[in-house]
Amino acid sequence: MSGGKGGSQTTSAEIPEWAKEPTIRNIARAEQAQQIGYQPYYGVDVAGFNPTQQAAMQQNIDAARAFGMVPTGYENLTAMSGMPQTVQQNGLIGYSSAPLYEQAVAASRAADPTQAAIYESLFSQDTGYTPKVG
Amino acid sequence: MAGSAQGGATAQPQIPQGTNLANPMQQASLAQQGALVGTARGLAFDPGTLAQTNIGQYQNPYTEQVVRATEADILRGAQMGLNELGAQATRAGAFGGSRQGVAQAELGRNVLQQLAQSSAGLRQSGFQTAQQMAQQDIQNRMQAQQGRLGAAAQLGALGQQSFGYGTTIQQNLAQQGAQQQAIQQAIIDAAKAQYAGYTGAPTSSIGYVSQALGASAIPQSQTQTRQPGLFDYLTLAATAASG
Repeated sequence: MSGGKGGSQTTSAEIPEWAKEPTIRNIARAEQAQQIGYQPYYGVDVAGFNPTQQAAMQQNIDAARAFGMVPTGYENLTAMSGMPQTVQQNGLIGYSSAPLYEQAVAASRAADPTQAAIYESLFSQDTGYTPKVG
Repeated sequence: MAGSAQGGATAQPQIPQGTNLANPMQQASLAQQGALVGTARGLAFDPGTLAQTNIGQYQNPYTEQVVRATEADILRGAQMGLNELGAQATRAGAFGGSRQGVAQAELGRNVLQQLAQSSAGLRQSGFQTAQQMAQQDIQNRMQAQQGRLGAAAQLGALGQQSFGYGTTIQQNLAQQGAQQQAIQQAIIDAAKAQYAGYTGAPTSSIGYVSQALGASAIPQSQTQTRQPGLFDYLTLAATAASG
């Protein structure tokens, strides 16, 4: 737009009627979707060592033990010594980051409750979702 | 004492209780220890020398009896000789004469010489036999030690072989396990991807409409409006005045 002593000129574009409704609905849907927030993955992240691997590792330790190479204080060393607890899902044994994630979130909340409240206020508002009954 | 290491050389390290002898690494360790100990004992082994050896232990314990028996035989022969000399002198009517005395003295000298030679010969022979036996014992010990050193070397080689078996089996197990783990990780990754698809579905669905609108040819009607300004009016007035 230009104006002033030389006058002014305005250009306007019209969206066709058939495109207006889908656009409005899409924006409304986006506003609903943004209320969902972060959805963590609670499944297994990393495959654990299977029995075959554990046997191989144990053999390695046993070999060291047979040659007297297990240092003092490590006499009870096993293949899984020092490894975190595994979880099992449908026969899959592995490690999940979920407990660590939850711990980190809880620590963050405890460290700065205000920031956590602000964060949480961004999500879980009324999405306009009406559950279907029956 | 000579050959003092001979007893110790046969002793091997004790196998600890609970040792799984089917385990190649246990075999390798035990074999290696055995080889080291065997070789070390071999280095300290002293087969002994004749000079250090107590030859007496190899002597025939009956040598003295044999010597005595031989002496008795000689003396018995000598006695028979004396008797015969006496008989001859009696028959000649010269018993107790000087000729008999000379003959008896000669016989006595011969007997003494025979006794000495016989005894020395028997003792010399016995000593030589004992010496040979002692020498043979030294050689036997050396040969046995060579055998033990050879066995120690073989034990070391077998231990190395067992170590190779153990290493290969361990590596094969690790490799097999890694293949299994890779499949499990792939399943996990697929599940995570599916879950990411699930959680991302709302965003994706919004994108569908945006993409559809973007891809559609939307006709736009443009309306232009113009409002004249002061300068436009002045220009118009000037144009009219000149005309």
